[in-house]
Amino acid sequence: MKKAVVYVKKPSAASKALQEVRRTLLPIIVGSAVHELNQPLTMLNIVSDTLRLLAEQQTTTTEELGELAAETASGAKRFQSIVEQLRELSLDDEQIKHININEAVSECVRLVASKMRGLGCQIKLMLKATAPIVLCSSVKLSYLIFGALFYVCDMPNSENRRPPKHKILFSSARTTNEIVLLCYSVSRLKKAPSLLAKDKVKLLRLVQSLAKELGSRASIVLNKKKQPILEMRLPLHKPSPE
Amino acid sequence: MKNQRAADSPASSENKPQMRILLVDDDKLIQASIAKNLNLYGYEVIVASDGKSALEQYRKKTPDIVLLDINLPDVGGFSVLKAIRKENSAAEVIFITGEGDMNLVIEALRSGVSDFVPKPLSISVLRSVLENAEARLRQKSEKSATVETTTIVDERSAVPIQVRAFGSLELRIQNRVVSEKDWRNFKTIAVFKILLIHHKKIVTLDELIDAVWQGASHRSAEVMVFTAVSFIRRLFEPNLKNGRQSKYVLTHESGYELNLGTSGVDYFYDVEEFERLVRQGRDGSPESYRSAIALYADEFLKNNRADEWSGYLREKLRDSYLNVLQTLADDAFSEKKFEAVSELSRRMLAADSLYEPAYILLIESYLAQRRPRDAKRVLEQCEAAFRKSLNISAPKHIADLLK
Repeated sequence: MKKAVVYVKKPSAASKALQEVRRTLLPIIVGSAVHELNQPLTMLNIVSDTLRLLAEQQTTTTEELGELAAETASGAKRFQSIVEQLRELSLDDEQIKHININEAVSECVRLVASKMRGLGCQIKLMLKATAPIVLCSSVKLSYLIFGALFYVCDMPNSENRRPPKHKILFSSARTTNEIVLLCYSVSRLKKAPSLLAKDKVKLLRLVQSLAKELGSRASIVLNKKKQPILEMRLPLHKPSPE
Repeated sequence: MKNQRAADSPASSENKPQMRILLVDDDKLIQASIAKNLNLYGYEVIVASDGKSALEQYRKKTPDIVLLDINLPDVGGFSVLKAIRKENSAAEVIFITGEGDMNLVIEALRSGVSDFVPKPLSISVLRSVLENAEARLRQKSEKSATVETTTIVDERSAVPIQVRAFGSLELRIQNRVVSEKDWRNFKTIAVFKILLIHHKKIVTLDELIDAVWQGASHRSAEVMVFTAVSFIRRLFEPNLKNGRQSKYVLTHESGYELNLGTSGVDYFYDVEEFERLVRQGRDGSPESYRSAIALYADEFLKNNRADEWSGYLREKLRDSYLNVLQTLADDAFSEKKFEAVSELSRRMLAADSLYEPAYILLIESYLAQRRPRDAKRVLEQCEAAFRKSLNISAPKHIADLLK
């Protein structure tokens, strides 16, 4: 009789990095997503009450009903998109896909922007890279974007207090072979929050190991004004000639 | 009220003046759906997407109520609130906030926001918040309308604030009776009553939360205490700009203190007056005792018998009242004024049907008047009362009086 052999896949160092990032960031992401869900939920609550009122008054026009249906659909769509994003982030599926980086950044930022705004941070996107397609795991890329954002605005540390008002700039540019993502903070205070503070090192290390896993690199560089910037360089996917 | 506009919506058929609401939210879809819904409820809604246009609209359209999202893309809700308050200290500004923004809510309440609605918005909550705001606006307009007529009365009236707590709570501020419906909700009255019980003493936030919001999460309870205190302050001082400047509800590091001022000059509070008269009576003034028992109309805050926080003072005041009655009845007995003994004893029994000294005084006074039948009847009443309340027979030393 043949013996069944069970192979247990040993988690790679990179998977460990993903697990670690997930453990650190997922609670913040979920908290932000709950905040973001307020909008579609509000819309659905209100539209359903409006429909009830119109039905009671029996004065509804087809046009009005159409508008309300569109609003409901839009609320439901946003709801679905948030839920899907969360589901993806909680899965272990590391399927390699073609991803448009600009879209990925916008989606991630959209999920947490309202919560971050509530904490005093505004996010400004300057996604100028053209055809910024990368071939990588969408889960890891999302975590890399969230990690960069939270690292720059000091999220895990500032969750329970109002951070100094500052703007986070997230930009994308394209070189011949790479997509360059820059993330940095422009504080309204004289002294900008440091990117190199000791308590932030752990998150930076996690972002760097995740970037490495994606075949890219993340590092702190100084711009012309000597401001520290988190720079991530991801390999550009160029479609084959055929 | 500013607006007496004609309206063509269902709510206006009740001849209710149409309220104008300025809705400030940066989400256009949310804006449109809330505006449409509130229109159906008879409100006129103006919208703005950021702080700057909100202020422009406020100046141009002078809305009655402002529904303001805390997080705005430009100047932010707090700056808008500050600017509106600067222009109109009595403006009704309601913050819209996400569930996790509790720190902001607390800060907002401190900055003088009228109320807040949590996100996700539910129409029932939003409507009740708007109705409360309307009630506050009505109060303010009634108050300003009655200022002139009450000025003459105020000059004659020695005290602007009158509080009666024997029986049900009755509050008069500048001769305006604050009835039950004027309160935001029963928990707000409870907060006021607790502050009243500890008049001129500090009540800590934790004490208030334990007494009124037991079981609620500490953070939400904190917000509700702030809301209640803010409401109480505005009840006394409708034009108050900053809560911390309140003359009546003072903020201390450890909690709040209700301070109505100088007794007899700024306010009259029947419980304090009762206690003062009792103290005077102990110094040998039976007249003060009589005035004290005249004040004791009923049990202290009789509607709050079930609330633990009111129990101690109620018992204490009842004991004082019974002691005063007993002292007066003893004096009347020694002076052989049996009718007075009988009346005072009956009042004791009305306050406490198991008060033994009252039965003893009644029986002894009937026996002294050679009315054994009446004395026996009193014993039977005593027996029935003990049987009913404690399921035991009357105390032996009372029964022995008739042997």
